[in-house]
Amino acid sequence: MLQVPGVTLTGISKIYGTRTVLHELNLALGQGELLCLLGPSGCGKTTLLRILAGFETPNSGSITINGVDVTQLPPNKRRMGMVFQAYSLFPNMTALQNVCFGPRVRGTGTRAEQIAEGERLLAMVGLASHTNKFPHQLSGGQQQRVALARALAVKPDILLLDEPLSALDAKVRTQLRAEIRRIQLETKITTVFVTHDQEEALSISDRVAVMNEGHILQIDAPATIYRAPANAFVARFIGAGAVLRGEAEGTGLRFGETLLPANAAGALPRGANAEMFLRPEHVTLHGHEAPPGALAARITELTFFGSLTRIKLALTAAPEAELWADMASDGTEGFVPGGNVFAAWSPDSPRVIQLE
Amino acid sequence: MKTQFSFGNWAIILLALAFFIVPLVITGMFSLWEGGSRYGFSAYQLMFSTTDFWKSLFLSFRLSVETIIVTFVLLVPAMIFVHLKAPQLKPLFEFISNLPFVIPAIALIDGLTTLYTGPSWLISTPNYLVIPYFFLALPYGYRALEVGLTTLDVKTLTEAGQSLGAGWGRIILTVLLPNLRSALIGAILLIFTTVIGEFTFASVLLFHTFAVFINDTGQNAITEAAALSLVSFLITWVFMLGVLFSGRKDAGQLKGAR
Repeated sequence: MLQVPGVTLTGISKIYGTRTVLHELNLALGQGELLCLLGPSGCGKTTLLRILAGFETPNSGSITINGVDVTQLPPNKRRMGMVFQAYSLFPNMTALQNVCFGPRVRGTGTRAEQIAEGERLLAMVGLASHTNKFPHQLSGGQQQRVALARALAVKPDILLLDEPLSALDAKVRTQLRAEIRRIQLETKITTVFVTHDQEEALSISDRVAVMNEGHILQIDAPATIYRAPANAFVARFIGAGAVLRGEAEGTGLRFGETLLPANAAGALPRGANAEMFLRPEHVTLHGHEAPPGALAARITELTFFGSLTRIKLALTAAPEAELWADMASDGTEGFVPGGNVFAAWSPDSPRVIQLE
Repeated sequence: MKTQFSFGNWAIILLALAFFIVPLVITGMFSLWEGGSRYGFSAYQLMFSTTDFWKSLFLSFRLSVETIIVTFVLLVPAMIFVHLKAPQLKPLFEFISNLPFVIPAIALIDGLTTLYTGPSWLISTPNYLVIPYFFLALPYGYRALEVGLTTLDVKTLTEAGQSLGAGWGRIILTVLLPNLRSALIGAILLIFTTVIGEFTFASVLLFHTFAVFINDTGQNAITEAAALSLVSFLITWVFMLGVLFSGRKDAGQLKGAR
């Protein structure tokens, strides 16, 4: 996706007291790209966003936007629009006044042009009939839409979204994230979206940067992050699945007495300690007849997700080895906790990562 | 849901009302007493026709306004700074703001007159009272502003303003202060009522404020003193109602701001 670099961060570090929260990060965003910073709480993703916005100063490193170094610029001198996690609309202003605030401060256009642009942006976020409402008269989702329109009104070089959906209920969150993506594609604005919700990150990004303990561990397209995690942390953090630790042995992983099929293990030295990651959608279950290579297992738990049911299994030969299998809920008849089944997967499916 | 009051509740409410209203009614009746069995408004007429009444009232009004201005100029930026940049200083601010409660007025005025000296336009005029009045009103001004700033997500609103291109001045004037309106009005009214009623500082420093005028009048014209007390009570009461209504008006608006 990275074409013309719009935003470049080079060697960004941030230290609070004795604690380093960002370790010399390098990151480049292409023009019009939507990049998600994804990671657990405390991984440094919000700090990185705040450094981009100018609310925090890095201890080292530089930030350039369209070739201009903005590292030392205060936030109000950078051309960035930001949507915050907390509702941040100015309570004393209507939705339209909130949206027009930025252009008014920056002196963009005449008053009539500012109002016309504000109305256009509010219409774009689906709030054409709410222009004269105050924040307290709007729902949480509507307030975040106004905040998005307000951030876009300043025609920013880069749009920064700091977990803008986390305070909303599940349904509104799903709707609004789709709208954010639609608007981002429409406006072609370079966007950084911070979230700890992997579903959110995978569903709307061009690329995802997975962070942990102040490091960027992998930057890739969502499908690559999911299918080919670069290391054990990313594999564990993204998506669900079994994580089994054993020793590489030919085209499999030795787990106790059991050899788990995994072609990727063939690339590792024999006896190397490794972890095998197996997604639930790659595991198929068979009630009676075991296909070649299938392993006997016992069902320990069923979780119903609507169209899909996730089944937790323990291998009969190695009960401490837990697997998951996703099945269409319509086909789970006869599968009950305590039942015996055969679990199989393609040897090409598991990801095997050598441990250091 | 409609609140149901029992007989016991009503009895307590009526008792409380009697506790507050009976002295006022009696003071009111006494202020109308003209000797014997005659009642009229002569005390009020006499009071309103006295030049000293208006002079002392206007002086107290002026000192209130000056104290309010000084308090806001010093306190508002300092408190916004503490909320945004140095929240660890909050306990220190709390402590300082409560000092006027624990230091006796007479000790305070003695210390302040030693510490604060300056040009004659300040120390030899009633303007000097603004200094002790600032300290006297500090707990009330601080508390009212602190409540307002805590209700508001100052950090997010400030950062939102900055991300839209606004500088500090514009953020304070167009974003923070309008949303602190009820807190500011509350502070204004509390400072106003404190200054209007203040007696010790003015009396010790020999300035003729409204409270000193009431005291002087009470020495030799007791019905006029009663009338004055009622008038000053009325002024205070009107301002306290102002606090109540300004707070109510903004409560709904700030609901969605956090």
